[in-house]
Amino acid sequence: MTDLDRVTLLDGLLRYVREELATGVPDGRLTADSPLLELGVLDSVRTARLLAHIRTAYGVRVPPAHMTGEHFRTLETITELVLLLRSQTASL
Amino acid sequence: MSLYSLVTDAAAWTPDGLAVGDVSTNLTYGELDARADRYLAGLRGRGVRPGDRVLVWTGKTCEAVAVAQAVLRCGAIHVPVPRGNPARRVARIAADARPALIVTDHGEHVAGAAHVSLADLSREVAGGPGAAPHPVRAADPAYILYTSGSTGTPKGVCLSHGNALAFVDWACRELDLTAADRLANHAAFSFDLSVFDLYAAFRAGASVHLIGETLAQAAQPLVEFLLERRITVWYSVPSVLVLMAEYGELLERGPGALRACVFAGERFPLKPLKDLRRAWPGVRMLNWYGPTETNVCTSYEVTATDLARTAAIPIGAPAAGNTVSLDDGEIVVSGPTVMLGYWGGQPQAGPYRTGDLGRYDADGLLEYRGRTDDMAKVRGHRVEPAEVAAALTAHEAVRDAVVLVLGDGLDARLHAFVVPVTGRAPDLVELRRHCARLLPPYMAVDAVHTVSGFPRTPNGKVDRTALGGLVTASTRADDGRRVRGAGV
Repeated sequence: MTDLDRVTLLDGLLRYVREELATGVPDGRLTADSPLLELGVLDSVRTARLLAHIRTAYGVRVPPAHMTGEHFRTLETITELVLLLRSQTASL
Repeated sequence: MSLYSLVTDAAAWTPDGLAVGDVSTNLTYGELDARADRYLAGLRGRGVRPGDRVLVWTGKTCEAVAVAQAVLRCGAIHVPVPRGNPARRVARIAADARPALIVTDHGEHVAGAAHVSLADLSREVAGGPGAAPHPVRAADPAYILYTSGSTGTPKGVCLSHGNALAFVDWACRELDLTAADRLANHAAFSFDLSVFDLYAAFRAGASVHLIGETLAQAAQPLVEFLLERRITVWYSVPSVLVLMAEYGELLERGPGALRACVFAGERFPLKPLKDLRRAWPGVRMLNWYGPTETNVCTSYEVTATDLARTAAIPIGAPAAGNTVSLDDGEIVVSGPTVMLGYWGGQPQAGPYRTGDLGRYDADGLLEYRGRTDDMAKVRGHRVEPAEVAAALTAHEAVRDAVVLVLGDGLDARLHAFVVPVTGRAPDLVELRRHCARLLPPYMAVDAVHTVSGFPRTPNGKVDRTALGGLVTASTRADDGRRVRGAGV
């Protein structure tokens, strides 16, 4: 999966959050740059499920030091984080 | 003795020992002590005097801990507020605490108060001399913890150095803490659980490892944290441990270096507790109880014997030198850890009535039986539904609102019943956004139900049971859809 591009990844994450996480937020109002904390999208259970999805679908474990508000602000910033972590894993 | 002398003492006998760590920084006791004395000079330079309040509105960092130490060294009162609190809620806290200074690590401000950023304060004092701490007495106020208030405004629980030390001394003995221990700090600094993490570590010359707000609710990375940092003592609400077990393989991967696991703040559901007890026979497990107003006042050690239980574990026997009794079923506490009082209110006189109901089990140990009022625990946090309702009512399209907590324990959720000004109430997204500007994230509403009015009891009060009953059926239906929709 080294050829995973930004658009595909973002689409995948968006689809997962809309279809699987039961956020209570209508699809049209949950977009790539929606503020996830403000919308109440990422509570602890949904965060855990999203992290499990990122691990199984993209082979990335998010380390404790990367669990910050900046990285988990929007689905765009999460996408950047996953790409960053994948590139670090690949270069090892 | 004071909460700052714990650090000055440790700096004298273990200056190179690790005191505190966050994701990017580690400070030894020598470094923490020197930094606190420099910040003390900086705070004094900005006019902070003994008895003043200093509101510290920051993330959970080593610098925030050093500033807290500096506030205490001024003889001033530390008011910790999590970074995730929105400016309008901080403004209400500031209106009550009337701080001489607000310290931040971000660009937000509260009108009418003096602010300084940690970066500026740090620059001002860099390389400069430290100052000598102001002597404090045990009865002097040390900190104010703001909790959800039933009047709709946060309520400040004010505790003295002596209150905190009575608990910390007891906890250090109970857990045999030594300089070799490594404590995790899961709770926010504004939550009383953090008093143990920080000050018991400092009392023992141990280290405390800070968990930021986002990491705090991420199950899998929390398990990594526990193992990577070789944590020996963990303290959190049970719901975090349950989440770590369910999603983070805590039982399979842990316990690493862990030797004691302590929980408080809500009931630990029996099944996951037994699973944990069975999985980690070598780890001591303690169930602590006490509202913010008393800190920990009872304790119960969970042992292999508890594997035979069929009902909830007790909250145990009195702890930290307190006397705990029942008055008409209500848990009443007196003793050295009971607060000075609510900030701005009358000093606490006599025993503190917790509002918690209790009873004694066959062994004479105290059991928790619920509340005398509406206060609830949601996701491990203390929430007054009235504060959430007050926030909802502040929305221009909402005429009236009642908030109920539906579901038990870890499934407890905040349901808003909203009477709109016109025919159509704002939806969940709009009200969540609105609440996010007024309330901390854990008080966000989980569901919104539009109603034309509230069912009333014969004496005119809102009939909460009837109101809850109205949606129980539809809530279950929603859950059913969610499970099917999740495709599991």
